[in-house]
Formats: sequence, C-alpha cells, structure tokens
Amino acid sequence: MGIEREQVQHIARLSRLALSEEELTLFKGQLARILDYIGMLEELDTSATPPLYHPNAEGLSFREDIPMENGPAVDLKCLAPEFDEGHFLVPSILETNTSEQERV
Amino acid sequence: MAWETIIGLEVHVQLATRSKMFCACPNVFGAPPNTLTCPVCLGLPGVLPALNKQAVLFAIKTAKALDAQVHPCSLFARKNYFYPDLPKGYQISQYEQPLATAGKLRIETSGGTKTIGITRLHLEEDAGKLIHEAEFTRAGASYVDLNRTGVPLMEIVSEPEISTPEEAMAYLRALRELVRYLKVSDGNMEEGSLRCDANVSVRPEGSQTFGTKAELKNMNSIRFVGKALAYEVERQVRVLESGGKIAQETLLWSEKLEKTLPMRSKEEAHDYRYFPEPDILPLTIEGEWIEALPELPWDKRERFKQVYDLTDEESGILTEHPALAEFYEALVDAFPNPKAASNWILVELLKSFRPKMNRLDFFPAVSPKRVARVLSMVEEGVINQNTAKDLLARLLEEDFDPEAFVAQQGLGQISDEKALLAWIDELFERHPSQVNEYLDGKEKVFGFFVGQLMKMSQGKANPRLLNTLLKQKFDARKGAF
Repeated sequence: MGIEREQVQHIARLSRLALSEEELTLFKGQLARILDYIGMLEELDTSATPPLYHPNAEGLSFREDIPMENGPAVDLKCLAPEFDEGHFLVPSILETNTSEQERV
Repeated sequence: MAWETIIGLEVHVQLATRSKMFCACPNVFGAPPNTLTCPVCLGLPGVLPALNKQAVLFAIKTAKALDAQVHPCSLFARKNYFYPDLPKGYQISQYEQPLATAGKLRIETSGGTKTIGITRLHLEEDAGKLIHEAEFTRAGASYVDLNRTGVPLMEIVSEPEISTPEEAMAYLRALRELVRYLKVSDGNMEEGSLRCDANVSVRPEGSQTFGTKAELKNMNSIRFVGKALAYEVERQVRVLESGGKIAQETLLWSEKLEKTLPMRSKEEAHDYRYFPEPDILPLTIEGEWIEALPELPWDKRERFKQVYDLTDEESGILTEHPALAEFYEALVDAFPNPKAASNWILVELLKSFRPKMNRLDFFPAVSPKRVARVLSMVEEGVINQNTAKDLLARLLEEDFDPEAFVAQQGLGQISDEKALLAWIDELFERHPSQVNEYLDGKEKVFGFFVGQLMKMSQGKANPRLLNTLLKQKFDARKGAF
C-alpha cells in the first residue's frame, strides 16, 4: 500500500508543517511502511471478534465536578513567543473576507 | 418557480457544570483572560484528560428529555485541526458512536405544532476565544484567551426537517427552554452558552434530491438566526434563478452589513482525520445514571392551560422559564385567582423579570406570598389598582409588609361616601361650566370629573363607588332642571 507525495504534502499542510524535499521523501517512505503494516493486519478476518476499543481492562474513571481555584500552575508568558495583556498572541486571523462587495 | 427550503441545525450547548470537561478548572464566564487554565486545557505535553461525570449526567438527561436513545456504550474521538483556539491541535469529541441518537423535539409555530427529528447528541469540549480588533489589541495579531477551552459542550444535531427560518427560531426557543428546565445550561446566547450553526439549501418544490448546502456559522441570537437564514434562502434562490450555482461554503452572518459573508479561516478544516481518543476509555452508561426528569416545558404548558384555565399565550409566557412558572404557582397557592394572578404577572411584573430571565439561577427576588397579599387587598377593595401597582413596583425593590405599609401610609382606598360626596360638591362649585356641558349631553366631560376626583383623593378613591356617586349627583342635577 503506497502513499502519494501529494498526500504527504496535504497532511503536512493540515498540521502546518513545512517539510523540505528530503523530509518529504523520508516521511513518504516511513508512512508507506506504516500503511503496509496496517494492511497486513487488515488481512486477518476479525469479523467474529468484538472490537477492542482499549487495551486497559479497567473501566473508565471519572472526575467529580469539583472546581479547583488555583489558577494556572504554569507561567503563561513562557508558553508562547508573544504574550500581551493576559493573552497569547498569534498572527492575525480574520474570520471573513474583508471585501464588502456584493456577492450575487 | 416555487422553491422549498431545507434547514438542519447544529446547536452547541455549554453545560452548567462547575468545572471543565477534562480538568478541574472552574467553568465560569467573564474571568480575566487565561486565568482559568491548567496544563490539561493548555494542551501541555504529558497530561491526561479526566472526564467530568456531571457533564455526562447532564447530556444523558437532555437526551432522555429529547426522547433519544442513550447508547450503553459510546466512544470519544479526536477531531484534528490546527487553529490557535485549541492548543492541543485536536478537539476531544464523539464521532462514530455518540452518546445518543434518534430523538425528537416538538416546536410551536404560527402554522401549528411540528416535530423535528434529532439525529444525534454528543459530548465534546469547547475551544478558546480569539480576539481581534479590540481596544487593547495590536494590528496584525489575534489575541488568544483559553478560559473557554475545555468547557463541556453538548452538540445537538437536528434532521434536515426544518422548512422555514421561523421554524428554525422556534426550534432554538424550544431547545433553550428545555435546557433551562433541565438546569443543564443557562442557555444564554449572548454569552455563548448556546450557539447555532445552520446547514441551509433550497430546491425546486417537489424535488427529491437536495440542493447544495451552505453552512452558516456562529449565530449568537435567535433573531440573528432568523435574519441570516432568511437572507441566505433569498440569496440562494436569486443565484439559482439567474442560472448560477451555489458554492458549498462556510458563511458568517454580519449583523453590521445584514448579509452572509464567506468565512475563510478554516478552509481546509474539513479534513478532520478523526480517530478514537486513546486517553479516554469507552463510556459505559449505567442504568442508575438515568435520573427521573422534571416536568418538561410542553407538559407544564398543557397543565397550566387545563388547571388554571389560561390561554395558549398566557401559559406559553408563564412557562418560558421554570423559575417564573414556579413563581406563578406559588402566587396562585396564596391568591387563588389564577386568571388575575396571570394578568398581574404578565402586565406588571414581567417588565422587571424579563431582563434577568437569561440566568439559570434566575428567581424573582420578590416573594410570591407578599405579591399575593397585595392582590388580595385589591380583591377585598382595601386598595385600588393604582395603589397596587405602586406597591408591586416597591416590592421589587425592597421587602416590606404590604398591609402594615398601607395602614401606615394611609393608602387604603377611600370608600367613605360622605368624603367622596363632599369632594364632588366642591368640584361642581369650581367647574360650573363643565357641569353644564355634561348636563347638555356632552358625556365625555364625565372623565374629566373622575380624573379631578382621583387627584383630590391622591389616587385612593374607590373608582367604582366614585363612578356611582358621580352619576347619582348628575342625575339629581338633571332632575332639578
């Protein structure tokens, strides 16, 4: 089972990763091997086996709805390249096209 | 050509838990930015989510009230997208096996009652808030506040069975009312506790295939939903009738421009690459988690009509918020005249209640027992309607003993015939020409005398007695001619 170069580029773009040509080639090969391995697993007939959703046999453990008022235990400023007025800063993201021309 | 509109709604409801979905940060609105965060909701490496049980219970309760099938086992999944409102790079949601499916919601429109199918109800976490172009922001930057990141959300998806913007608004009203009754959310759209996305398309009437749909995002009031959908339906019809094609796109409603605009920020986001969330085990629902439901809004509405003999409109308004309905029932308990009690609430008290009704913990500050005592004084003829209005307005401000206050301030209605007759005589003396006008058949002048007498009594004259006495006096004059 192979993977196209364009598919690798697409996945990289979704994750906002800028890959060099060498990296593209490297990851294309690695991803192809992973897909081959999954393909091999898929050859097994598991139609009679109930799906295992999680290897942990213990049930899900819950948290009671009790808030902790401690505030962030980390220094927020250290987490982002830019921090101002209590906010993390990222390059501007506009939600709509600014052009106000009439669409038909 | 006649066109048919098809609308499906996705509603996100913030759950009124005390803490977030997967961490113990407080779930409150309006705190200083990023103060309600921790390594879990900041998406720092090496942390694990721990599911809030209350959020699950709230979602189950809502699903049951929507008559949906709650699945004994449901799964959490990762929805991957790269956007600064979600620092993990994925949202924990439910995908292949949601908490509940196949429900229904009854809506009331001017055309009658209609039932809208609910496709699914699932749990997920909210994302943070991006701020642009605020007073404190710099040009070229978006500001990120992650207080909302990880707040529990319930997503409720309708079947594409909504046929008009009016029905969409009715659906939202019904859903908001339901979550308030169940006390699972304050349903406050202005604060984002209830948010609505809509899929909308049009097709020639009678056609069996769907037209291309546009997705309208993030409408934050029921009125905007109505306006945005009406605009979008009209736009699509215009495009199709002029031979054009509808593009499948995501739109935002601009209240300023009164039109929908294409959204460009999540262009590639439809490739979410869902996979099962490895950090959360399958959610198995135990039978004992399914609590008994409170009386639901539509049942309460029907009961109010039957038991208290109210109109559709009266019972509709009185049951809009559970706290208001409770207030009404407590009032009727102490003042057993349901119709009058309803009138007094709808005309006098609602003005001050309404602005607060967005709050889940809203409860009228005034005691229904005190209001009942004011209304009883009107019924017994102790005070007149105007005095009652003043007393109610005052009761909304401060608590006091209405009977003692009336006695102390001398607000009791004046039913003393002698006093009233003396005022009438005095008035006749002061305004002989108006008296003659009335006697000449100009009956409108009667109102002038009533007004004057009310003024002389400082609003306290018993209006019925006043009318009778005034008539008698005039008749006596007529007889004298």
